Amino acid sequence: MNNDHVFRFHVNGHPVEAQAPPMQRLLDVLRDTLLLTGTKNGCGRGNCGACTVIVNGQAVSACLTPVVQLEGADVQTVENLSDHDCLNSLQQSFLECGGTQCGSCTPGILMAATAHLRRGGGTNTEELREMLAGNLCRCTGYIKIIESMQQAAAAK
Amino acid sequence: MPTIISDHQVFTPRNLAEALQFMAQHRDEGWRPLAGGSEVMTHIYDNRAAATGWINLAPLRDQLAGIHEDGILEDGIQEGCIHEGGWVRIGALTTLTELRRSAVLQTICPLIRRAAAATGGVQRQNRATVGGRIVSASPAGETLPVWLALDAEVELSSRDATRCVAYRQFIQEPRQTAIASDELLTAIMIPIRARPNPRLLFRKVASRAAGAIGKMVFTAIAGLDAAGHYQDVRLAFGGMGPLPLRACGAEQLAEGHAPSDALGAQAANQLSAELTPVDDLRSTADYRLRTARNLTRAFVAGHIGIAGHIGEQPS
Ligand SMILES: Cc1cc2nc3c(=O)[nH]c(=O)nc-3n(C[C@H](O)[C@H](O)[C@H](O)COP(=O)(O)OP(=O)(O)OC[C@H]3O[C@@H](n4cnc5c(N)ncnc54)[C@H](O)[C@@H]3O)c2cc1C
Ligand code: FES
Ligand code: FES
Repeated sequence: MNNDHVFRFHVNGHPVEAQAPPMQRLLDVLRDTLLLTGTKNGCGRGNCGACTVIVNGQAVSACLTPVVQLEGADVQTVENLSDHDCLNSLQQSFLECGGTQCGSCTPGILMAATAHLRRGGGTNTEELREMLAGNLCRCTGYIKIIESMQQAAAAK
Repeated sequence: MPTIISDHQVFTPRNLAEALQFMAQHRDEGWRPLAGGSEVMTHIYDNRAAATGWINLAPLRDQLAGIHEDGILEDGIQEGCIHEGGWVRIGALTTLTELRRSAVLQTICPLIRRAAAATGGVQRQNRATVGGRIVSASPAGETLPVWLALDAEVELSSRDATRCVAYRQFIQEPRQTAIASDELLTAIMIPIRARPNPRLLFRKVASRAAGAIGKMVFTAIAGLDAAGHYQDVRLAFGGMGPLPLRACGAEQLAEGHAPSDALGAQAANQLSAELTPVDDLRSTADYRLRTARNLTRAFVAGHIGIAGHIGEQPS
């Protein structure tokens, strides 16, 4: 059954028209249709945070967001952080502080942190740990992630 | 068999009236509301969704999201729900993040903010709605015992009527509620009840502070009258059975008495008679009961809990 509709929204500042069934996950639209594979598919069930993107200023899981609810939305993905090959200060801090190892959690954590810092969220360790509750990392032990975010916030 | 996503249809109404009209016309065709989608999407992708037709509530946010003190009546919503002492109306599409950030709630019911902050991670809080949490009726939700302790009512709207039901009555069966197939949950109503010297507690016991479903959740509210005796005690639990529940026996036991270690011990003993928690993958019955007893003992004895504004009109 063809149940595709056209959904119009913005991704990283560019208008897109995505043709998809209405309950298609934003995750699949980004990765398979728009070929923006920076957003990772971890658990696919809202548990790991690897698919975190920013929708209308808020961090959400792309795996739990149906495209039908994106009409007119502003979506930002990890591809939007760097200026071509030039990493932004948050990304640079993750490199310098060892905030990334295998890297599968990193795009989601960068986007969750970006939403938090843009909103003026607190940067003490407790606040950052709480903000990260929805992002799992199996490599770093989180401490270096927190340090990366604090370095980037301090540099601002 | 993998999920066939193109089997899932969506109707997107422009406003509440259109949504209710659609639900009345198609009431037996299995359409279900889609709010923040956090449960619906996991069920679809686990191939255990309750429906293949979804009513997208996102455009109704203007009408059904937000927190109003003493109520701003929305179009079509009747006045029968107003409580004498005033109430706080929380629209069904209010997100957990909005609960967390609400200044009104911080003044009137800080427990609600604590419960919202302890639910899932930030990604979940940004999308999951108050109404979706209530209708999905799982036993472990952090916000659910808080609604019980606050004597909240849910407002249910259909094309032809609006009714209010005590939240306690609304959740009679595990994972089932009193909502009809042509009704939307439109708001949860918190009666404002004056309690002298209120003391409050919210405690989630889980393997992690947030983002992990609780082993048990305990919330307590009590006032202390001029003589220093308990008044309007509420002891509510999540994760202690198939439904969130109140320990009414222990509440009655404390009512009218001054806080003391002996009273705390009596209340804890009463819990053992009242509650029969289960063993499951998150915890054991024994651990749950012991934790519930310890928290109840400490609260009733007056050792834990913060002074708060629950039920007081903000000055
Ligand atoms: C990874 C993950 C972690 C989670 N962690 C927690 C946690 O720690 N604590 C917790 O309590 N919950 C947790 N949840 C559950 C989640 O918070 C709830 O499922 C959520 O609140 C449901 O809200 P929603 O708006 O996303 O609902 P939806 O998924 O859109 O809907 C849920 C159900 O309610 C119905 N519904 C929704 N709105 C209405 C309405 N207004 N009227 C009538 N019916 C309606 C839908 O038809 C559906 O059956 C978690 C979920 C996930 C995926
Ligand atoms: S892939 Fe979305 S949260 Fe894990
Ligand atoms: S760096 Fe490997 S999961 Fe986080």
